[in-house]
Amino acid sequence: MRRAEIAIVGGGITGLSAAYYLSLMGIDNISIYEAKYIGYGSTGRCAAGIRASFTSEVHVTLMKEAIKGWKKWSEEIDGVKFYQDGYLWLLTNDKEVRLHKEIMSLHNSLGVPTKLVDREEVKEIAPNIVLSDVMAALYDPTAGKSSPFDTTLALRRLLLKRGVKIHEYTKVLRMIRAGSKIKSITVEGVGEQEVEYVVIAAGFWSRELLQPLGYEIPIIGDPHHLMITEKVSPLVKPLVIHKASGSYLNQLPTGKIILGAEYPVRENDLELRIGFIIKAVKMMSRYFPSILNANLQRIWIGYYLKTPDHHPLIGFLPGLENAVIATGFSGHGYMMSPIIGEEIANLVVKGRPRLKATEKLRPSRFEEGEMLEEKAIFG
Amino acid sequence: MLRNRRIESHPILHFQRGKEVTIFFEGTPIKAFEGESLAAALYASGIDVFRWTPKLGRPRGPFCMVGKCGSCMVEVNGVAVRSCITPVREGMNIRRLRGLPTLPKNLDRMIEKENSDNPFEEVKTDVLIVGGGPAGMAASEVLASNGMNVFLVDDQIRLGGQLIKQTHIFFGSQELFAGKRGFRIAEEYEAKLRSLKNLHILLQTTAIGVFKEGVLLLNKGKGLIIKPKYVVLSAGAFENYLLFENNDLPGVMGAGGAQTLMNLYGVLPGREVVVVGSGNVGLIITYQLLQAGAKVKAIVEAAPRIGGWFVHAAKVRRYGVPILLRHTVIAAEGKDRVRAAIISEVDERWEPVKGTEKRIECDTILLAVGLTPNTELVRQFGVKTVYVPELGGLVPVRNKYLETNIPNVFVAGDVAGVEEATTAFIEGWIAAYSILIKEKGPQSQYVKKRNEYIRMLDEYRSSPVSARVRSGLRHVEVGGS
Ligand SMILES: Cc1cc2nc3c(=O)[nH]c(=O)nc-3n(C[C@H](O)[C@H](O)[C@H](O)COP(=O)(O)OP(=O)(O)OC[C@H]3O[C@@H](n4cnc5c(N)ncnc54)[C@H](O)[C@@H]3O)c2cc1C
Ligand code: FES
Repeated sequence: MRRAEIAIVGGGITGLSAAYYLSLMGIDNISIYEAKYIGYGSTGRCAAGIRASFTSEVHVTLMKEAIKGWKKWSEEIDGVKFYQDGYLWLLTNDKEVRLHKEIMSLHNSLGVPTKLVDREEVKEIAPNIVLSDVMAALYDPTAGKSSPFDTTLALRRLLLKRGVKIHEYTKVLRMIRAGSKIKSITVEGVGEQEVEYVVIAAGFWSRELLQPLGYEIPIIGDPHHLMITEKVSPLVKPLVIHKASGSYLNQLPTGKIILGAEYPVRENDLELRIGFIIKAVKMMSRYFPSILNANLQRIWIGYYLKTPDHHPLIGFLPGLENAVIATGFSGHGYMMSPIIGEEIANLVVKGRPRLKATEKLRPSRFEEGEMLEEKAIFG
Repeated sequence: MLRNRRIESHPILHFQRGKEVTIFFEGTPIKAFEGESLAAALYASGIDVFRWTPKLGRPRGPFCMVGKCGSCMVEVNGVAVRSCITPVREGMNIRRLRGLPTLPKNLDRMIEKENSDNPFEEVKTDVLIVGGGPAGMAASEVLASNGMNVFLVDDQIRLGGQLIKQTHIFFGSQELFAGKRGFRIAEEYEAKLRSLKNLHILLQTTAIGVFKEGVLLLNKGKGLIIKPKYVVLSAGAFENYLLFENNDLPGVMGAGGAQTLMNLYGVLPGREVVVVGSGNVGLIITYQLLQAGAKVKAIVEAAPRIGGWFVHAAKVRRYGVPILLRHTVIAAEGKDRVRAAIISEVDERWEPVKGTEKRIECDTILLAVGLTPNTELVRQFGVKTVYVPELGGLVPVRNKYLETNIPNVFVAGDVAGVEEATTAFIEGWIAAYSILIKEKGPQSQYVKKRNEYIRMLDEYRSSPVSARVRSGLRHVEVGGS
C-alpha cells in the first residue's frame, strides 16, 4: 500500500491554506482531494471582502491575525495581492447610528480602528457616492479585498511546486474509522488510501462526509447570490454596505463591480432569482446611480455555512485523534483563511492551536453548552 | 488618414445605403449612412484603432462584428459602447476608448418604476425561441402558423443570423431553397414571418439568463421576464480564435466578422488578405473577397488536406490563390494595423517547424478556424452537454426529435453541433413539429411532416462530406421519445 498521508478533503481556500502551512512546517506527504476543481465551492463564489471589524472577541482576534497573514501572503506568495481599501457601512437611521457608535467603541477597545464618519467624510472616502438618505457611516480603514481566483490559483501553483499532491475531480467517498482514529479514506477512482491525518475542509459537503460516522455537525447551507459587471474605471475604493438591507457593492481592482444583497431562499434551492438582481441593483443604485449603466456579466449562487452561534468549527472531531475539521465560516471563510490554515497545521503538527480564540471554536462546544455571540454577520 | 473602404461596385450585391449622415470621430466629420453599424461606418472611413487596452495600451479594432468580443468599443457622447451593434445616428461624437470605460452619470438605461418591486414586465407564452438564424426562423414559422403563440428573440439588428451575410447560391432541393443566395433566403423568410400574427419578433434583445421567475430578456436596458411552456434554443455558434504573436492587432479579424463588414455593409475588410483555414468558411470568404475586389495572398491550412468542399477549393484555385497546406500563422507584424503575416510550416503535431518562416505582406489576417456552439443558455437550462470535437465542442444531448434531457427544451441548428444553414432549417422544422405533437397530440399531418424532415435530414447528411457530423452525432443523439 502507498505511504500513509496527510489527506486534506476539499480544495477550497481552507484546504489550500492548511496545505500551505503544513508544508511550511516541513510536512512532505500532503494530498488535497477535491471533488470538482480548486475553488468550486464557496471560495470561488465569494465577494472577496476582508475585515476585522466583527463584534465578537474571537472573530476580531482571528481576523487581526488573518489580516497580518494576508499582508504576508501578498509579499511572499507570487500572485496573491491584498488591497487595504477599507469597508464603509452606510447608516440610514438614528437607531443604526446609535448602535454603530457602540459597535465602534467595541471595535476600538479590541484594537480595530473603525470610525464613525459624517456625510462630508463619506463623500471624501467615496467621492462618486450620491449621499441620498445616508446619515453617517462606519468606516474600517484596515479592511480590504483580494481576488479569490488569483489567490487560489497562486496557492495551487505554489503548493504543486512544494510537492503537495493536488487531486482534482477526485471525491473522497468515505472515511474509515478504527478505534479513535481514521485509518483510511476511500477515494473515487483510486480506492482505499491510508491516512496519518485527515483534514476535513469540505465546506457544505462536510456534513454528508461525516454523517456515516455518526457525526451530526450543526451547520446549514444558506444560499447567497452575487452578480458581477464588466470592467469599468474606478468608481469606489472601499467595499460599501447598505446596512439596513444587507446589500453591498465591491469594485475589484480589475474594475469589475460585485453586487450582493440579502435575498433569502431555502437551503436546497439553488435556482437563480431575478428578484435578487432587482433588490441589489435597486438598493446600491441609490448611492451609485451610474451602475445602472454597467453591463451585467455573470450571476451565481453559493453557500454561507451557518452554525448556531455564527462562529466556525475548527478543531479535532470529538473522539478522534487524527481528524481535524474546519468549516462553518458563514460569509467569512475566505478572509479568515490565513489564520485558519495556520491553526489547522498547528493542530495536526503540535496537537493544539496557537491562539486561545481558536480553542473556543472546538466542535464540541455545542454539546458543552458554550456558545459564542456575534452581531455583525454579513458581507 | 481617411480612406474610403466602401465597395462601390460588386458583381452580385447591390448595397442600398440609407440616408447620409455626418458623425464626428475625435472631432473630424465622417460620412455615414443610416442603417449601418457604427463600427462599419468608422471602418469604412479608414479607421483601424478603435480602442487602447487598459493594461498594456494595445490597439484594438473590430474582430467579431456581432457584439461578442468587445474589441470595437468606442465612446459615443461619453458613453462606452460596442460600436458593431450600435446603429449610427446623425451628429454622434465618437472618441477612441482609452483604458476602462467610465460609467456615465446620465442615465439612459434608468430602471423605470423605481418604486415598484418588479421593474420588469412579465409575459406568458407558448414558445420562446432564442436565436433568429435559419433554425429559429424555421421553428417560428411552423409553430406560429399552427396556432402557437411564439416569441422569437435575437440580439442582432437584423433577423437571419449567419444567412444575411451568405452571398453564395444554395444547392439541393426546392424546399431547401436551391438556386437562391443566402441573404435572399433570409429576406424572403423574414417577409413570411412578418405576416404571422402569433409571432412576436424582438430584435436587439438578449436572453441573458434562466431564472426561477422565467427567462430574462434585455432590450437596450429594458427587461422582460418571459415564461414559456416550450423553448427552442437556436443561438448558433461563435468563431474560434487562434493563438499567435500580435493576434490582437487591428486587421486580425474573424471570417464571420469580415463577412458582416463586406456582405452586409459593403465595406471592404482589407486590400491584401491572408486567410487562415481552408474549411468552407475560409474558401467562401476568399471567393467573396475576390469578388469584392480584394487580393487574397494565401490561404494557410495546418492540416495536410483542404477542409472544405472541392467545388469551393477549385474556384479559388482558378483565381490563382495559393492554398498552403501544413502551414500556420505564427505572428502578425505591424504597429496600429497588420502589415504582414509571418507563416511557417508545421509538423505532424501541428507544431511550427523552425527555419521555415516566411513573411507575407498584407493588411488583414482573417481567421476561419472553426466555430464553437453557443451553449451558454443551453447549459443554464440544465441541459446535459458532452464534448464532441466533430460537432465543434460542447454540444447538448438530445433525441432525434431534438428534445433535450430537460422536458420541453429543444435545440436546433449550430447550437446543437456546427453544420450548415440547410440542416439548421430542417432541425428547426423537426423541433417545431415535435412541439406541436407534444402540445396537440400525434395528429397525422404533424407526424407525417416530422418524419419527412427526419428523412430529409438523414439524406442530406448521407454525403461523404458529412461523415464527421455523422460520427459526432453518435455521441449526442439518444433514444426516441
Ligand atoms: C455569495 C457569497 C459571498 C461571500 N463573501 C465573502 C467575503 O466577502 N469574504 C469572505 O471572507 N468570505 C465570503 N464568503 C464565504 C466564503 O466563500 C466561505 O466561507 C469560504 O470560501 C469557505 O471556504 P472552504 O474552503 O471552507 O469551503 P469551500 O470553498 O466550499 O470548499 C470546499 C471544497 O470541498 C470540496 N469537497 C466537498 N466534498 C468533498 C469530498 N467528499 N471529496 C473531495 N472534495 C470535496 C468541494 O468541492 C469544495 O471545493 C462568501 C460566500 C458566498 C456564498
Ligand atoms: S464586439 Fe464589436 S467587434 Fe466584437
